[in-house]
Amino acid sequence: MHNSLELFQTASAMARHAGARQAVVARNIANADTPGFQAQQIAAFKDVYSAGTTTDMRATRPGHFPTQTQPSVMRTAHAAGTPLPPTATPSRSKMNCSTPSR
Amino acid sequence: MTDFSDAMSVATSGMKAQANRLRHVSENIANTDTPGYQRKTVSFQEMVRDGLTTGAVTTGPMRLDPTALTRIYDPANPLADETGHFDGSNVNLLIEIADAREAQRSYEANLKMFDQVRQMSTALMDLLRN
Repeated sequence: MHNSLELFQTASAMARHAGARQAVVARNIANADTPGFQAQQIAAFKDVYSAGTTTDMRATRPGHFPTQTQPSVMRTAHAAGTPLPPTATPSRSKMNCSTPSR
Repeated sequence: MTDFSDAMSVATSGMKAQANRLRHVSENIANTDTPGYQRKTVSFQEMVRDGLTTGAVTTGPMRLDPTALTRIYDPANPLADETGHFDGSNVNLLIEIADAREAQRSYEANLKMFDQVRQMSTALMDLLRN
């Protein structure tokens, strides 16, 4: 009985994780044509489940999140409307600014 | 559950934004031959509500393309000046068609996402009902 209860918990955690991931992917797809938008991703289920923490945002590239030093700030909870940490100017426009004019 | 409804509203916002873009493209195409018509463009931005980004997308303010209008030589036209030229529109059909196609593809992606979320929540509801 105990074992099966844990199985239910794992299964529902997996389902919740998949739902959260779907929400993040939907946001990425909706903003595919937004200038300067940076795609977001949540931590893999394997990592969050073993760590027992919530699904933190994970950067696919260094410099994705300017507040990389405090990753706990970036949670998928802000899909529900919690404030996003202030984002830096999009890297694309930075690149354009630094490009010498010909 | 709120993840599902969030995902659905975000996908909906994407479809709305793409539809709005497509409307501007069709306005441009319809006015290709209108003398003096300036092409309309919209850009996308993240939707902000009460100072918070919601993850949804919206179209920004409509802007007019400042590209120079084409000078069309047609002395018989009543609009022609003393050199026989008049201002056409600055619409490039090739660009408009490419823009429309891109809007279509993005719309499809959002629609697919909406359908997927709907299927997921329907499956959950079916499971809970039985």
